[in-house]
Amino acid sequence: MSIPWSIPWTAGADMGMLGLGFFQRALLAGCLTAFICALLSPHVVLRRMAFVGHGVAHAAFGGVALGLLLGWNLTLSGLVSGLVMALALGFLTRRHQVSEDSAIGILVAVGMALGIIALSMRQTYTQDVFSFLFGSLLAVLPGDVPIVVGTAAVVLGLLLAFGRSLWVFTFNEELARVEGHRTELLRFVLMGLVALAVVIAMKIVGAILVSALLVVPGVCGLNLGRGFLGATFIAVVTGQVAVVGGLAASFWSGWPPGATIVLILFLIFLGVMVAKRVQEMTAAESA
Amino acid sequence: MERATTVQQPAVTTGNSAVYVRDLTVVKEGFRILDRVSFQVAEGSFFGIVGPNGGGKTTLLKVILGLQTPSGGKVLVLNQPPGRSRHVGYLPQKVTFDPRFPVTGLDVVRMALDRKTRSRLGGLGTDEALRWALDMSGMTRKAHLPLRQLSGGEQQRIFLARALVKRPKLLVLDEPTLGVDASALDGFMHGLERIREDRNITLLMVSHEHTVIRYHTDLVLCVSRTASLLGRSQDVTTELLAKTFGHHEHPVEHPVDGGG
Repeated sequence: MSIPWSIPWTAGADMGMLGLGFFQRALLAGCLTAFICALLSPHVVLRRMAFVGHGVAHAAFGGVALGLLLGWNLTLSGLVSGLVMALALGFLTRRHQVSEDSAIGILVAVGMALGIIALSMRQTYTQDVFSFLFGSLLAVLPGDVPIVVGTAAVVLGLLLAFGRSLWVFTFNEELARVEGHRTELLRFVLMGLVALAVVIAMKIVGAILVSALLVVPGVCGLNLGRGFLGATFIAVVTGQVAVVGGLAASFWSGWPPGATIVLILFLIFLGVMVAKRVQEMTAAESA
Repeated sequence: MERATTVQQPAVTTGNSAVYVRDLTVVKEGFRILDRVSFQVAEGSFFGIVGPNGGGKTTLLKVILGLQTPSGGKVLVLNQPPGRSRHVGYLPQKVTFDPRFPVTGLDVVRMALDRKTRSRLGGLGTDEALRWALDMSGMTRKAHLPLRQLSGGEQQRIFLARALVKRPKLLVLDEPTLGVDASALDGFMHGLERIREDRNITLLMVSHEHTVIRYHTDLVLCVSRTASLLGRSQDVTTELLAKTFGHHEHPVEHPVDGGG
């Protein structure tokens, strides 16, 4: 198997032909994606939804492969299959008939199985599929830009409308319900938001690595931030630094962008852990 | 044990009862958790519920709060179906939350005030409601601290303030004294009495604490799949409670008890 991401931009001539348009698109999509992932990240961490993101990404991969076979718009088919996965997960776990991790275990496998069968039915090999699995700087096509921007706008709108309710809901579901919040709806809203964020993040980071963008910023924010808004702010900064740094490093080194972003996220995470440790030790000394 | 006979006339109006339960049955996974339970809680009263573990006390509270759908029977809470009235406050046995959740005690109390309530109260009214709730639960001085730095009993009082801040007409308490240490128990119970007098709030409380049940509540109901009214709380002796709970479960007699 050839390594798909190494082809286009190690051959310098191609880069000149493409111009910077593809990189600007990747940067726009990457920053928007990281922004909404970071806004959701504290919820994902506190509600232990990390694997929901993982599951949605794999289901979306199945949808992308299916879209490739049938000639649909790949981003849209990924978006739809991701949302279907989120809904299925919501319904399966609603009455606790199936635990969340089991439901994800089932649906991840089904999504991948569908994707693999769809791919096997195609005779020609295409690189597109791999860019969805591992992410690529070239994956954001001009036609994807409105989809990414639109999705981000929808996520932001929903967060503005439901933000406070989600805060109360994530803290404790039972009290939220007694106080009149529609917790069933909120559960689906949060799943749907995660699905939307994951699917547009997949283009650059890839299905396999996407959950890092949902988890690491939140962990950093919750460790350093004061209050929920403070934690969210640090999560946003973490996400932006990782994406801008990762894409730039990827552009110059030819490393795949998703993996580069994940490594930068990990370095930030290590830094936060060390900072936290130092903070605790000085606090213990002064006490 | 006799079935509760509180509802003597089924046709009686429910106008002045805060909670009206008639022939409530709850079946979960084939088990009959509650079987034709009937009782009424008069407005402004302090109503105690006792019973053995697994007897259905918490399920009963969940029905009243609209968290559990009954299999049969009729339930009215403040003259509305359960879960409909916004005038119900709830203090659970233990509020589970992720300790990493970055909130202060005040944030937690504020969570109960949704946009609509805040705009109805206005800025000053909101502050006044928060101050009153924190004062009633005795947490004014520690409200600005992160929740995870508070002790179990202090956290419980923050959640009491959260249940109070919307000025409910009915306050439902599930074993509220479980995490409260002996020295703080009296203060906690007197706080509840104060709340009740101050606002004419109806209190509905599940408790294992014999002293709490005996000296603070007006009427006591024993729930053990079926319900039987044990009578006025003064008549509820330790022996009666022990008999009711059976041999496995004795009501907690408080170690440091100056009351009575």
